[in-house]
Amino acid sequence: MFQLIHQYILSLLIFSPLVFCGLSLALKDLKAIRVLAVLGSFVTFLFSCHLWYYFDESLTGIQFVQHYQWISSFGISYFVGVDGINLLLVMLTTFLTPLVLISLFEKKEESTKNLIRLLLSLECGMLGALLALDLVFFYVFWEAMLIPMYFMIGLWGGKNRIYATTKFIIYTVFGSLFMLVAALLLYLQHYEQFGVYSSSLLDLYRVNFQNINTELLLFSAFALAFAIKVPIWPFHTWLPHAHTEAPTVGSVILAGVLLKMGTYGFVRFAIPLFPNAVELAAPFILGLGVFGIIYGALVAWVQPDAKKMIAYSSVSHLGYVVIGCLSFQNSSLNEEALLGAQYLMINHGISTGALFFLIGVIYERRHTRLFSEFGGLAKNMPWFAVMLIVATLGSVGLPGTGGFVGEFLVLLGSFQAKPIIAIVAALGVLLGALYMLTFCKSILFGPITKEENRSLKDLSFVEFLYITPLSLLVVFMGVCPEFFLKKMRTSVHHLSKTYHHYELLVPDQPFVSAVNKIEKRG
Amino acid sequence: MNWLEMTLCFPLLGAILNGLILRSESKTLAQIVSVTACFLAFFSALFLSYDVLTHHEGLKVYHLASWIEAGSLSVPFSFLIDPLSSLMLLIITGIGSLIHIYAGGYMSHEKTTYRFFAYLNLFVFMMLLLVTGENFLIMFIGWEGVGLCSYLLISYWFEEDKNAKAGMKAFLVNRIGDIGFLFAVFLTFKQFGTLSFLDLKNILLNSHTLTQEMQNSIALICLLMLVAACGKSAQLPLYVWLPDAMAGPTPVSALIHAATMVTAGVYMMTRLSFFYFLAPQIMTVVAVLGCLTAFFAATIALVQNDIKKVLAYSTVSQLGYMVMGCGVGGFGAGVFHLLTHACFKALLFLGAGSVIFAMHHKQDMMEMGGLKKYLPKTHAVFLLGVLAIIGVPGFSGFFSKDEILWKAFNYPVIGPYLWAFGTLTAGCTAFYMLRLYTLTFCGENRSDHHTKKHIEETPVIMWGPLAVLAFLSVFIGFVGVPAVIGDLVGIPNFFEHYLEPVIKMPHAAEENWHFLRDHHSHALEWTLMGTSTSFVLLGALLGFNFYKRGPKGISLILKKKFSRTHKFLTNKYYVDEFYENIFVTPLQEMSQFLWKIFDLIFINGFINGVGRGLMISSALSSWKNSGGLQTYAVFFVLGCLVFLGFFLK
Amino acid sequence: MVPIEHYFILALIMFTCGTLGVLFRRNLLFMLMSIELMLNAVNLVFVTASSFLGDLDGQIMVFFVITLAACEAGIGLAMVIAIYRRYGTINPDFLKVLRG
Repeated sequence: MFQLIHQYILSLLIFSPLVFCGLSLALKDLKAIRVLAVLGSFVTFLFSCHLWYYFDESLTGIQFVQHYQWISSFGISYFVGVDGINLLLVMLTTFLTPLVLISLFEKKEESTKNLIRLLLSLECGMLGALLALDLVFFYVFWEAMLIPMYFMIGLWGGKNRIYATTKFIIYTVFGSLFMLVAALLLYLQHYEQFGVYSSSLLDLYRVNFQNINTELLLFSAFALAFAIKVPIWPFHTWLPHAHTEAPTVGSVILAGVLLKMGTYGFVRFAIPLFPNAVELAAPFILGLGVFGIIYGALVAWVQPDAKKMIAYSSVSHLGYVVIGCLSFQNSSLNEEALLGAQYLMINHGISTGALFFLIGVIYERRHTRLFSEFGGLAKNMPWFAVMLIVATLGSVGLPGTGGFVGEFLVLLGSFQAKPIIAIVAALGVLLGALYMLTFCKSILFGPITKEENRSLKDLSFVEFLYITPLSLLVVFMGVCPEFFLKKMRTSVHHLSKTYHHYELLVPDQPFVSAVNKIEKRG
Repeated sequence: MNWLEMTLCFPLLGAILNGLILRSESKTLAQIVSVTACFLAFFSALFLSYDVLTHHEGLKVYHLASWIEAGSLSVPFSFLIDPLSSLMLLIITGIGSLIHIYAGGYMSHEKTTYRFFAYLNLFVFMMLLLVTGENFLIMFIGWEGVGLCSYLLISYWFEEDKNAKAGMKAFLVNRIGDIGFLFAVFLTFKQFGTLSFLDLKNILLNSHTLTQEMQNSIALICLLMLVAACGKSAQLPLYVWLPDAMAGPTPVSALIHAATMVTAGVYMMTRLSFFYFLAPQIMTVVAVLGCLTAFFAATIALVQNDIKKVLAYSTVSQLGYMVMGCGVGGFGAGVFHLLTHACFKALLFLGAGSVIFAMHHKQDMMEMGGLKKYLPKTHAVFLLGVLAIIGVPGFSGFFSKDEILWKAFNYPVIGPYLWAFGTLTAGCTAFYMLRLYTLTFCGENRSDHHTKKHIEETPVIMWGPLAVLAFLSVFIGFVGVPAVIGDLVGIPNFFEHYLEPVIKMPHAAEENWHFLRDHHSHALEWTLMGTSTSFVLLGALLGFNFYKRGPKGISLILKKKFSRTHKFLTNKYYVDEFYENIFVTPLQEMSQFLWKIFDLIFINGFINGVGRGLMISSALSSWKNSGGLQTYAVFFVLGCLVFLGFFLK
Repeated sequence: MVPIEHYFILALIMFTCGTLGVLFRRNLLFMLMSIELMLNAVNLVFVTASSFLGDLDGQIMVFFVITLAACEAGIGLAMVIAIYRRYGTINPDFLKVLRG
């Protein structure tokens, strides 16, 4: 039994949410569905813990590989695997989903049933996209993620939801289609060079482009798709709308995981597939990233709506991730910066997730998110204040929270590579504190100006249940970053040094080594 | 568990216990927890210092765990105990404990105080991290951590908008400095590949010649660290947050904004003295900046009416002295003044706190007066504090301030000017302190009838710590008696000797600093000492005489005569307004523009425009979609014919 | 023997009539009948070619087409009736639901 689980762990991970989603269709009662869904997502989380525990951080290659032919005449296969780059994002996904589902426990509406089902299928989509090592397979999941999100915003959203969701879907698909075309061209290029059809990433990494222009073209297509997803300035305008209109759970998942797909795409696909093109285009993208940091921070500062503010702050934060991913230095990627970027991705998922949850908490009570409607909440909601301040500090990047480790490494690395980038980006550290503290102050501090705010209740048990883990993690990530960094280090080092001829090794018999490891331990 | 772990652990435990676990409504419980934590930390620090200083030749590094490992960067949780950090440990936990006790009395009218005590303990913990950290990053945790606690404590009474704003301002201005710190770290790492203080010290102390590039980076690192110090130690031009920070409860002002946190900049520069010695040009900047800050803040303090504001500007001014001391190469003198200042300024703030407490939270000196007879004990200790700060010979402030001025005078080229400004500042200090003292304690009581009826001496929990601090303020100076006096009365300068192992001169820098070793005539030193002391006495005399009849009499005439200067000074040279109009408002307007015009209209408009353009073009091209079946069919057939014609040609 | 061209010309005339009928008759029934005419023109070509080439494939094809025509007529008539019930007319000029 254990061996079976171990062997098929990734498939179990990807499809167990879908299975539970299917099971939930058989149930009629909202309460039963909720319990089932939380159970399902928790099982998925346990699977990912298994992955975490047995992941061998000393190997550079991919682990837990499952590789089956899908459409063999075209060389398309079901190919999944884990390395240090996607492991943490997988953990983040499986960690956030149960919390998101728990947060729906206080909803009474019948329509919540479908929201729960959508969330489970969304988790399947995200995990599939993260774990895929076959370009076609990846693309299928990449697009499949959009569908639940589309309905989530379109059906459970706010006033302007149709506009927001349409914009979200069209914008993202617009980018993805370019990527699809480029993927096809890449696939044909591989056929020309090697004479076999294959859409496996491991094969595609070997493609050499004779013509730098072709490479640049293909890279731009991939980069556009990812840049829209991140979003890098100036492709960000869908994000504030999508966030403002999305229900809390949607925002959490959107900011927590979906945005990371863009930066993950850069690391997994764009950089190793088109190394020369990336080097050429890097200054340009870095410029956009840095501009986005400052721009996002300034615009976030003057937002009257909490969710919009966090949306713009995401633009700012992901700017750091982008510059961390693309800090080239002497024909290698700066390792500290890349590691920092990976870390920042996780941390942003955690702290922004917490912020969206907390905004959701007060939205539930007051049905507004305008700053002018709040103020002085710390008096009646002390625990809420504690949680909000912790999340804020994580977002500001105070030492001792995860945000600091990530931002510090990114800035340190990019300072070694391109000082000017780091110098401008560091202004974002100041502006970040400016808008986050303004945010904190206008919600928590000052006199209570609205009568309704006098009788607000502090966090309920359920709210505690889903916010506390995030707050604890914000601090834990700052104090013990080593716990996470050690899992990523080898893979990141490998990528940063060898992205020019990147190879992901598949261990011959992964299972045997894992069994040996288990025997050694036990 | 070793002594270091215990020292660090207790305050953190206290903070967690009070802030997250107990959250007790009971004031007594909250206070007991936090005072116990602080005292335990004090005793652990005492044992730790004793242990290290006697058994480990005054230097021990503790590696507790690894923290960040990435690429070639490796930052462990490592801590350094040497004479400097153990001195700071004792100041922080010692004075901290006294203030914790006092706070119990001062906050006794608050509803819940667990939050306050939790923050206070957290602050102590962060400050301990700051002074014991063995590398830049551990120091930086503390550096930003104390900023956070300061933010939380300033806005402790968050229901008032003003306090929340002051807290924010403190945090943000400090963040400007923190960015300087960060870049210094980046540059250090780029240049030396390590962030450990001891490693850096070893590298620099042993190198005899430095390349030009290396020297430039060192100068830049020093400059960036100076920016950091300006933020934390409230030097020009970043001092603006400190006066506003007085919005916090008075014990906080005493602990954070006088005794400990604001001296972090001085501590940091001393810790990095081996860097600073190698950058003489930056040292000049440091000295001039300190001197200017001291003078500038003292002039503002002359006319403030809020008792805490006067003390705040006085703190800025005294910090200026310390920074100047560091700048002229007298790091020992700077730290010595840090020590004495921590004692007498804590005393003054707490004394002012007692006054405010007795006056039911009135802080305007114009409404005080004659408190001598209502608050005899407070008056006595406060007077000792005043004498200490203005530097009456024999009191602690005298020794430390004189040491700095003497070092400044010996500084080449600009030395005498530094000394002159320093002496003038000492005169101003004496004036405004006596003004404060006289307006508060002497003459007639000017408060309204209701307040007057309720003024009574503060409880023992409040004046007890004051007495201890008063004792320290008077006598602590004797640990660092300057040689010129010490030789006369037979007291050696313990303090200088104590700090000697910390402040080492790199070989490469020695030629720039030969004047520190030169011997100067004792006669000159006596003359200078006499001059500055007479300035002090003059200032004190004027201050007392002008205000002994309250805010009337001579002071009023002067105020009228120099009304424009007075207004300029009361408004603090309009620096806040200047920053507001030059930086904050334009930035806000620009952000509004970026959002409303650039983002919403320009970018979003463009994106939506693309969509709308597509819709319009498809609407235009849909004219042929008449829906008529047969029209379609005609087109179809025509199309077929064209194709056929084309292929059958 | 009738030359092959005659058959083809006849088929062409039938097909043209059918096409014009589909294009210009204002009645769905007549349009269906015209389609039938076009199919029969094609059938004629198939049979002719089969007989002249001595290959039976063409005749087999005719059966297919006839079957298809029957199906088409069945579905088409059903749809015409449905359209008449829904819209009350079988004049294609009034049936412009597909307008863009």
